[in-house]
Amino acid sequence: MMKQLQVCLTFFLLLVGTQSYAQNNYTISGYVKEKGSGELLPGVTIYDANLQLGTTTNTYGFYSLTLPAGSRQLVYTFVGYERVVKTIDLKDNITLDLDFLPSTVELETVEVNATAQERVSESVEMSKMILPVSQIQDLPAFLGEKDVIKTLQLMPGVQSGREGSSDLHVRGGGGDQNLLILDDAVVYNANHLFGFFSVFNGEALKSVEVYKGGFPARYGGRLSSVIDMNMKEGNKEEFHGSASVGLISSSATVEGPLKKGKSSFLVSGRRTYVDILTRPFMDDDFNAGYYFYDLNTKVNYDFGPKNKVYVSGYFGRDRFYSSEDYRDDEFKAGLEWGNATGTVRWNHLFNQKLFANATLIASNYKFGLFQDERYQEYHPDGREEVHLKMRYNSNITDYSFKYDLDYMPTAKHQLKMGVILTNHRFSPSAFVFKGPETDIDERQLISTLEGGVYIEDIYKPTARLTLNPGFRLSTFYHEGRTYVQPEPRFNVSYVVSKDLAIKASYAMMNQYVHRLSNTGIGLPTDLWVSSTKNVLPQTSQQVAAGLAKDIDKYGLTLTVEGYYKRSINAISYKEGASFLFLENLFEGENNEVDWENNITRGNDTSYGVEVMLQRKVGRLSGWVGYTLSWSERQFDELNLGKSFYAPWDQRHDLSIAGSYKISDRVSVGATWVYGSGTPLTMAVAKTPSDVHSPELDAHAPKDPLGQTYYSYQPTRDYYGTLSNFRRPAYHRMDIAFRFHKQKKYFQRTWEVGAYNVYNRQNMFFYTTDYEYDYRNDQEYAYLQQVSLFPVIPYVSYKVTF
Amino acid sequence: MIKKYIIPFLILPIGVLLGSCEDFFLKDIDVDDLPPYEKIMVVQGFISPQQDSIKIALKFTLPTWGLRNQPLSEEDQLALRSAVVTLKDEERSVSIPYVEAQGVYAISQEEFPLQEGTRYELTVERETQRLTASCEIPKSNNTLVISLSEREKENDPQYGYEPQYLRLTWEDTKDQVNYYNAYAYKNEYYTYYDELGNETQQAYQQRLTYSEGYTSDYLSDGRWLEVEVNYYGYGEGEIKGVLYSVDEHYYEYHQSVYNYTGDNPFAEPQNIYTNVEGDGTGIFCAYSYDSTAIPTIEVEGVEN
Repeated sequence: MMKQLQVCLTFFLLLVGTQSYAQNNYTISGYVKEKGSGELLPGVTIYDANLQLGTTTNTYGFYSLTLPAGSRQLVYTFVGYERVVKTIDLKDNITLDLDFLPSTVELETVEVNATAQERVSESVEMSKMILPVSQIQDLPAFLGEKDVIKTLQLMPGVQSGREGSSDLHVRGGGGDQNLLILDDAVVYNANHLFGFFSVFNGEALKSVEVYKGGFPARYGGRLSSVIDMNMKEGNKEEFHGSASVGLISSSATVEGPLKKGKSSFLVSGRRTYVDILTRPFMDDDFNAGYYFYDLNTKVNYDFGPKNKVYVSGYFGRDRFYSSEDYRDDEFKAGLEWGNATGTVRWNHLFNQKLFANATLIASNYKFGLFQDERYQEYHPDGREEVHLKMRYNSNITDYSFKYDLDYMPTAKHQLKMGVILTNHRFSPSAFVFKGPETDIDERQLISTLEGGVYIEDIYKPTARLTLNPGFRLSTFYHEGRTYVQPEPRFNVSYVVSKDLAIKASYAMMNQYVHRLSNTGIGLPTDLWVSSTKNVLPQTSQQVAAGLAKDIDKYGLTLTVEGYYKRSINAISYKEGASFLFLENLFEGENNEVDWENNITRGNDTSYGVEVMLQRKVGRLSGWVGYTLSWSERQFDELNLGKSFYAPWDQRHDLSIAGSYKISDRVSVGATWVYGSGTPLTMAVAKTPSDVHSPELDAHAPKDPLGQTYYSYQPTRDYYGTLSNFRRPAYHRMDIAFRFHKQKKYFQRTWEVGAYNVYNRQNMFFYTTDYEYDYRNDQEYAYLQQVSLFPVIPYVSYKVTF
Repeated sequence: MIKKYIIPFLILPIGVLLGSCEDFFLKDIDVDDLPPYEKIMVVQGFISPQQDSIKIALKFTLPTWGLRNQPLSEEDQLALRSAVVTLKDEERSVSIPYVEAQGVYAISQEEFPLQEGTRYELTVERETQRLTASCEIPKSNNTLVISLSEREKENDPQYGYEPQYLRLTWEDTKDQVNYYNAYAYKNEYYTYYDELGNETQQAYQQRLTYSEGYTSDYLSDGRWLEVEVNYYGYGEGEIKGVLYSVDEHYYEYHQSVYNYTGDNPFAEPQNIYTNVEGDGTGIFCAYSYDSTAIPTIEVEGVEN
């Protein structure tokens, strides 16, 4: 272990040491902001075309570029913004902050300003997608609820084609293998209403980056993907806001300066109102309903060029409830779940080349169930009020400290290094039951530590070749057992011609926390558990290779990637395992499931090819994504040890998403998805399952009647092999028209759209139906497909000021 | 402008929606589109030296979908009667004939006595199909002790009396993996009137332990093991305890049958445990018990 570490460190020192220390090098550094709002822009490319050297702004909009003295022409480009060219006579270190102006689409021509398009051939990273947050608004959404996760499912490599699920399967990975981070805080459950909506509110987000492979060393803790989301900071110059009314929810966002140019805030909220609309129709004595809400808030303060502080938080809840009053009796019950995260970040600029960020993070996911009952108990000598109270909670809380450094010694090196330490506090089951003669209060608390140290470098030895080596050392501690796992990472990109690059990557990842769920439908009862001495961390290795081509003439980018991923110690459930923790709960039993004995370890293998053709600018924008993939599992204790297709194995996945600006006032967006059927294990017969019956055995009266000494039991399902059936293919088209109009004080947008336009009967789940013919004593069993959503039109109204 | 876009756009899908709503949500799946019915042989045999005879049942799996409870065709019945069933140990081999009256393959232990500690191999052959399974008969354990706790004197007026606790304990045989079925019952009688109007008493066993009796010595090798159940019975009588020493196949099979979660839509698919190899499924397992050491206990003077 130490040897591996030494080798990696030596490697880095050698790399950095090979740089040429020219005497007359000077540094240009600064922040890139959006003009008008002061919003810092991450991912802006700054490039010296003559020297063919460049860099990009980090998450906080900071850049630093060290170049030889002389007249330098710097080009600043960022998708959706006007290109800026600055000519500098470089003879000293300078600070150059830049205000970037959003570009406007030329409607007269379909020609696009090619330089405004992000150039995929110039980036060393691969298997990375930047979700265009502004495009999310232009695409149709279920009941008009714009959704980051649902849009992600339209990308190649991310499986789509499941009705009403926010679970992500990326490159054959399980639903719990995605690191969802919002302003550095891990979000454990991304579902509202069992997965029909996700918790991420597009109005409050600035950027969404998705890694499917080639993971930079700064990320760790999950095997299959990283979804890194950053909230907007809020407009530093003037107040702005938006409000929208949809079929099921309303949302509002307000942002503005607290101190002009120095400090700003953003508050964005959303709440459903089915419960409010139905309340008048409820009986006086009975009330039941459901709602969810999200609240995103962020404030920041700019203490000057050296220090900036950001405080952000997310809070969301789902709640089902019912209450009943009858005379003096009262009954209340319900369930609720939700995430809460909080992040404090402090940016500090040590000097022009060294940028630091210290982060304190808290994240909590909580699921709770409650029941309160008051009733009168009558005795011969009077009556007595009885109060029964039951609470069941399951939650996970993380406290993290993170320190990251960006060091840019020369134009050829960009180093990132850092450390993160997280205290996970799992409380899988806390149960309180109080009554006149009962007082149960049982709580479990498991505290673990997860740590990571990383270093990575973007090294450009020649104008054509870019290397991105990285190393992460991850550790996990649980009850005296410590795991230490090295995680090497490597990306390489070679520019073959002006607009074509070939890329390759390797990444090793470890995962120490696991989600137990076999409902597959995003129930909030899904439980997060820790690696233990018996449950080893999951480990994966992934190699990927591909090409990235910019087709400047049409503003298109094309990426083609192949990948092969193998995971060991992957977790699956043993045959017959059930993790529905709530069985028997109302009977006053804390039904703790012995989860360690219900899971089994094995290996996952997935491989495939992804193609994506994307256009981010112009009147017609969008993408076509296609994935051809295989995903197999091999577990000694499942399927007689033979390999079988994973439940999320999907051979073909095609998504087309596009929006077209018909005029200044009207635009249309449409999506079409096609996913070939995923596997399912279906009974192929009923097997007699009689048992030995001691009553009929010989110690009892002998068996003179010639009885067999086993007793009849109902037949049980016989499955043969796992994944022996495939669901029908899933496909669906959604469409939305948006009508904008500039009023005196605001712009209003009507959106009219429809989900599942051609009314495809997509499978939601299967159910069994029986028919009995008494006359002929015949029983028939049928399998029925349940579909959920026919064509559903929607309308929403939004004002932006 | 708005009308131009919205009206045709809204009318078309709403029309489709109304027209198709009824049939939309539920659709029967054609049986031909489902995985084909796997009709395979199922063997069931629980053998013990303390049985009078060795009995092996042979059945077919039944269809899951479509018509399910059809009686077996004559062809199938003939097929199940015409298999060659062979049982052998290291030295001996016997062919077990089909016994029409019992509907199973059976042979008296006078002809082929079974012995504790011996491994037996079963072979079933029918046309080109062949099933094999083997098991070893465990040695019986004669250390069982059963006891019944005292009844609480004051009974709860609402819920009746408190239960007593029936405890079965025994000493595990050290340095080997053991499985048990700890079983307790009480002989009861019910009264009925026969065709001539005579009062007749019929004995039956009131079972007191169910699946909780299946235990293993996992992490408790060589220790005293215990099974405790609530006893709600009353009246005079005799409670009998029987300690079955069972093999691993017996234990795993019964666990999987009793823990079957097939009716739970959120549970993973589960095949019932099988130790049968070849063209079929089923169970062939063994047990023994010590018939001379069944402790009894008198339950006296219980007031209702």
